[in-house]
Amino acid sequence: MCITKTAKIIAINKNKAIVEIDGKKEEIRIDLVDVGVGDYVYCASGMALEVASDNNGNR
Amino acid sequence: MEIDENSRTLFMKYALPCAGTLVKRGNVRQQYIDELIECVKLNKKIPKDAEKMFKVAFAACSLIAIDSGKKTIDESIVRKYFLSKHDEVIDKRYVEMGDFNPDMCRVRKCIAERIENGFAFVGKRRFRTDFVPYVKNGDNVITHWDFIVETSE
Repeated sequence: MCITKTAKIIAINKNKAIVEIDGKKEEIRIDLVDVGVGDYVYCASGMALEVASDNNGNR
Repeated sequence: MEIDENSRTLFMKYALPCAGTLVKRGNVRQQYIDELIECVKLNKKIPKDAEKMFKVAFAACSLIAIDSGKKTIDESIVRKYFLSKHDEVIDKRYVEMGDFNPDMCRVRKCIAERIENGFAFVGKRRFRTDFVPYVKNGDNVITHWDFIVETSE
């Protein structure tokens, strides 16, 4: 079962990013990952936890 | 972000009570959780990086440490997360996952009303005392799921 959702980074402002998750936009903290616009991250509760290689689903 | 060696036990005391959700999701085996509970209970060395299975709690502690200007997670950060931020994070997780009881997952301060057969009772709820074998009637305690995490002032 999934523990995190995959999100695409749409925009970055310092340690926060606007991401798209399941078609919805959301602001998350990205302090713990090194990412750029267009990258994918695994996120939960408004935090990016890990970089995802691509939009390969949730985990 | 890493956690201070001396703060790992406290992190596990707060986090292990909700490991049942990870077991239910198939992320970890119950046997491993039982072994970790024994490690904490007997004050044995906790396996390397065991706390990182609690990805959300560990990330949230890491962010609090960053915001506090700290290079590692220490006991003050662990308590700040579980006593002040955890329930808010849990509410968001419930919206995302919906596979656990958010009310059971609250971290609460209460009073141990009686101790009986190794369990502490608060009202009708019964709590394990593995992490606080010294708990007494009338002690102020912190609860999480079915565990007393620690006593408090």
